[in-house]
Amino acid sequence: MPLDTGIPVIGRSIVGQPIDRRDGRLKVTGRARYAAEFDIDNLAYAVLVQSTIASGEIAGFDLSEAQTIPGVLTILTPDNAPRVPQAAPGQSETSGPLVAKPLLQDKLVYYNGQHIALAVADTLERAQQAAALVRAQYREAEAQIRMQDALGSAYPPKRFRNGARPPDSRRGDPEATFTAAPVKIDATYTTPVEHHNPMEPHATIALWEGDGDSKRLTVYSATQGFRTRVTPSRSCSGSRPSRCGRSARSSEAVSAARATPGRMSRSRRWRRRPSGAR
Amino acid sequence: MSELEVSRRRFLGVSMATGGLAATATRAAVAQTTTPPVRTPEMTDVTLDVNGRRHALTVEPRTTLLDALREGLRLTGTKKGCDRGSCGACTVHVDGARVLSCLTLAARCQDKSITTIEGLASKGELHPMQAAFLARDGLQCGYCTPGQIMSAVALVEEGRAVSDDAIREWMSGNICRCGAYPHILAAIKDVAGSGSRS
Amino acid sequence: MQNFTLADTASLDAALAAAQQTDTKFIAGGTDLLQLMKDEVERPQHLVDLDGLPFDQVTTSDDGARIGALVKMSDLADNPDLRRRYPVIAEALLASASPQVRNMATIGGNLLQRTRCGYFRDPGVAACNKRRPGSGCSAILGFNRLHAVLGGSDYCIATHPSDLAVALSALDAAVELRGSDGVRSVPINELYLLPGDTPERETVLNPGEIITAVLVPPPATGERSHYLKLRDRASFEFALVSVAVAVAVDDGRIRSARIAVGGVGTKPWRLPNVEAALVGLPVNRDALVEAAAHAAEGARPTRENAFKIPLMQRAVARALATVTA
Repeated sequence: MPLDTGIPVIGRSIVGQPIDRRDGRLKVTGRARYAAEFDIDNLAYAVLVQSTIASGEIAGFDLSEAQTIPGVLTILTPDNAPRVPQAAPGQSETSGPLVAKPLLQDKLVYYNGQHIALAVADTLERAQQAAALVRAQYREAEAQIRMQDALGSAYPPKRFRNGARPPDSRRGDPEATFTAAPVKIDATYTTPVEHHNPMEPHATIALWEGDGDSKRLTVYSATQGFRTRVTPSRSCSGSRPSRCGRSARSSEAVSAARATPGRMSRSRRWRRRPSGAR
Repeated sequence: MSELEVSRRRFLGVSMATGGLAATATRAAVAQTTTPPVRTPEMTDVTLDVNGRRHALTVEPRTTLLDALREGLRLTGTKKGCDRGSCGACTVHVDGARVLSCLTLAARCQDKSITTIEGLASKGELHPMQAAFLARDGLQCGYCTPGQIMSAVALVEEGRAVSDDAIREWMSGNICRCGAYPHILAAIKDVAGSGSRS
Repeated sequence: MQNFTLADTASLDAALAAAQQTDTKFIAGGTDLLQLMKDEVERPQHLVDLDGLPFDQVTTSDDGARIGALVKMSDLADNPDLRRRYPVIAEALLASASPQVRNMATIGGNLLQRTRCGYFRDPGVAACNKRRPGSGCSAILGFNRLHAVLGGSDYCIATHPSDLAVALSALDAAVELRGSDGVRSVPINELYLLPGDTPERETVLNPGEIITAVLVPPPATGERSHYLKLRDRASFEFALVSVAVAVAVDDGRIRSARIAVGGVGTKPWRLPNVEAALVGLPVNRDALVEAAAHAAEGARPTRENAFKIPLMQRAVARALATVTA
């Protein structure tokens, strides 16, 4: 029974039929909008700053040079960034501390290139320049960078994929079968870490609109999924709009910030509800 | 008009072609509620000829043509992939030659003729290369596509599309993470015509 | 990128005068310089724009070729006289970069481009003697698969990146330099400095001097030339090993040979021992392979790039076979 997709079906199947992509015309004419490209006025630009050590702690920041750049609006660091709730309980143990760790909440450095600050300015070039001028002082710790070196202290996780299945798989009696086998191959294969690296840069537009109870945040981003449990409207629960990172350069109702450090652009709107909702 | 008004309008890239009046009026209305960037001595005025229309812009010497197009003129068809000259997503034509806009300074483009992906289609009709990319599905996510098409148009005009290997070599400045290369090759061959041999 | 002033120049004299300022660099194609500035490796306060200066002509005659330093790579590669007389130059250019880069980049800029060493190009890395003299070299005990086996020192093993420079090295070309002191000509093989203990000094250019032309002597009678580039990708990639050869053969025996290798040295590397071994040899595979073996003399591998040494020997043999076929 063919699916009713709304696409004209030729013969018994659309597979193998030369159907143009629905967004193909937009893409070949340069009119398809990706995350950083929505036409929003009055944008501020934010550029992420990355750590240059692989493990340790940030002892402090020197923002003196970065703050002299004309047009810089603010430099967010763990010292002044808004507080955001940590991961929800029940999180899988194998996610580790990083997966659900919101940005700029503490001064621990887990890897080279970790995002440790955010420079916000009225043009992209100024934000990039300010970010390059942010200086961090570190207490560097020894980094563990090779899995082989840490295998001696490896352990099977207590909860794997939220208990959906055990971490190791087995079928039958591998040990006995291997011992009895006439031909044995015992080898260890490793694969390198691979990153998706889509060509679209990671970019997000955050657009704050409205005041008071009608305050609204729209986020334009390229991502395969959103976590909607932790919502900005809850995390920045209303008391001081400035703690949501709202740009201070305009007192107008509409102000927007675009952060740079994908396939489809999605947007989510959050509305403030009376307390207790969501 | 006060100096501040002039600089606001310039920042928003007021176009001087007669067709842009409606857009200009809209932008002027919005301009009342927006805050232009802090003016500094480094800023300089340049007029960019893009897709046959002239645009007055205020840029800094460090502003790339890519950022002037995307941020200054809101022509986001030209894409920023690597911003370092390695991916080709930012490919445009300047005075008829395909170049990388991320490594071009906008201030050096005064009096040069610039064509972007937005300038290929004519009166709503797709350029043959655009139509070929569509028909041959030479794209998936589409992010590299404008750069691929601009490069491909130039390649054919350069007379380089003489064989499959030649097309691949002369398109080597444009990468595609989705792997649409075989279909891109097919699209280019369609446009290059019967002159190309396998 | 920090801000800078950008100055046009009406004449070479004006450009040279403007270059007397401190923290000033010339910009031609800008394809390497802007990368370095975006990465904060280079931070000039002033740029002098060379666009429009009259160094964009190519003339070839029986006395050789004169190539203006502002000629675009793509234009030179398409020049029919140059392609006919010096195939190695055209082949080296077409093996370089990408079509878009070649439409922007100039001959002079290509010769002065900086190394691709990842530690040099990342200011987040503290130890780089080239970028920060005295700070150490991260590559020597780090990821050095792409680094040099010839010409390195305890201070720096960064590979020289230019293919064109290797071709010009084999052809005994020279660069014409102009500065406020006047004009001088420097052979390509004397232009680049070994890193030694001062890797921050890469060429013999005086401050404020610019390359205005490349001068190539006429090829020897019957000389054929060729460029072979080996790399991880089929295109748009720097060399692991490259070879430029210019060889003249009489009656099946080699009369003269000039060979330079790239991708393996801290500067383009001539191979005089291979050249001497080839003179008088019959053109057959075994002879070429035996002569090419000399290419490895003096080569010092790092932990990750020992493969370059046999690869270089084989590449030299193959390039010689191609050009004598």
